[in-house]
Amino acid sequence: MSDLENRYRSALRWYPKEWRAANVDAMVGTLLDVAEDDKRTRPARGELADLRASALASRLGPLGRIPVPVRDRATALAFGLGVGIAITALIATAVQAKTTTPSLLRLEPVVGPFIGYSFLFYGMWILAFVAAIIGRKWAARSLAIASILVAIALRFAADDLLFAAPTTTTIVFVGILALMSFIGNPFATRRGRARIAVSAASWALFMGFTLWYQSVTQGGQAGRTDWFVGPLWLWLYWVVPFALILALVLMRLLHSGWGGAIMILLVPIAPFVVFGWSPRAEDAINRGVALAIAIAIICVAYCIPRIFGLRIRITRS
Amino acid sequence: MSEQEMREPTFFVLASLADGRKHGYGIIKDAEELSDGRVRLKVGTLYAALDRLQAEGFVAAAGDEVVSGRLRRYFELTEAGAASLAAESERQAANARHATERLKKRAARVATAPKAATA
Repeated sequence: MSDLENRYRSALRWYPKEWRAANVDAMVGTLLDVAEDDKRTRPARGELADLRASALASRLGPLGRIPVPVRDRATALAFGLGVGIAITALIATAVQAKTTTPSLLRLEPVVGPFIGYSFLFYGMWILAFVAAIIGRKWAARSLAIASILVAIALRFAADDLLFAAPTTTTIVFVGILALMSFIGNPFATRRGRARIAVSAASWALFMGFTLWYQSVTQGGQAGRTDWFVGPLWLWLYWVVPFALILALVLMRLLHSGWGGAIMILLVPIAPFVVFGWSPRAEDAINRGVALAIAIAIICVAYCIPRIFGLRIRITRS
Repeated sequence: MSEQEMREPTFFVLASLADGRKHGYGIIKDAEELSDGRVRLKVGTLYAALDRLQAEGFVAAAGDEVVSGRLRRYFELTEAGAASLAAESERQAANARHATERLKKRAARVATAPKAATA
């Protein structure tokens, strides 16, 4: 067995055992045919990484059977959400340092305009976004994953946990978004990259608006003039019921792939919205109401039509 | 959930099998030729696509051969795969037809429009 074949077989060990038993010899044969045609005695650049990525994708099971365009759209939405959080957090921490007044929480800029070092974590997402927009798929994914390692390091190194580092919940949530960049590949096409950009801008606008609204209403009530930056992901709770309605309409009535993509995105968002920690009672009430509405929507979409035998279909003329 | 779009690599895998069964390397070469060199499928991507297409019933395994000590697995297009390829081809052809018609109208409009005065 040649060294090249050994290296291929080693990379193919990432596939599930059953898959290897059925396909590994045929796949090695194809890999060796291609290498011979290229007059190579070593794997091509990125070839082993592609094999391992395909192997991991095959381990995703049911997720792997979701149509590729749906997965691409879900990745564009999730990656855009990560970038949107980064943009909002960077702007908010810079604005917060400028607008804060000395109070119980004294917020001094530590590096440049930023409070604490969390800008390193969010800055890596901005770099990942730039890589995505210029079509560097692996650079974008690697930066997103690396940002999580940086955030964990900051968490251990921070002496002021409130502002010096992202919270554990934020790290886990954004980490899931980083992992979701592997389930599809919107980076390869101009349309996919445009979707990432639109998604990032939309999320940033949405979260920027909610933060501004929060600072105006609750900050004012508390007699504070500074911006209060709570956990950004918490503001997604009102997104869940509306996103659910949109996804169901797109899936069941319009048969659009966007419905499935939104559903995939809701999988990591929903638990954080439902179980995420917040110090304020109204958050718990709002989340409870949002959850009740979401459950009601599911019942309306799935249970009532079955009970009454209704069937709604919209056809394009 | 119906999905109207078919990715280019998938399209070329199906198109490659339209004229008969082929093994993995044959599909890669054929897809490259059919796309005028634009699509060079990676082996991992190809087998992932073949797995998915087999699960969807568009492609079926069509026998193994050992050539120079290497296993070659052949794949063939099913009737469902041929129908899907035909539908996608028709969709792309219709898109191209509509775009060409619009471009002709635009060219005619530009030709008949009075030329703007230049300063």
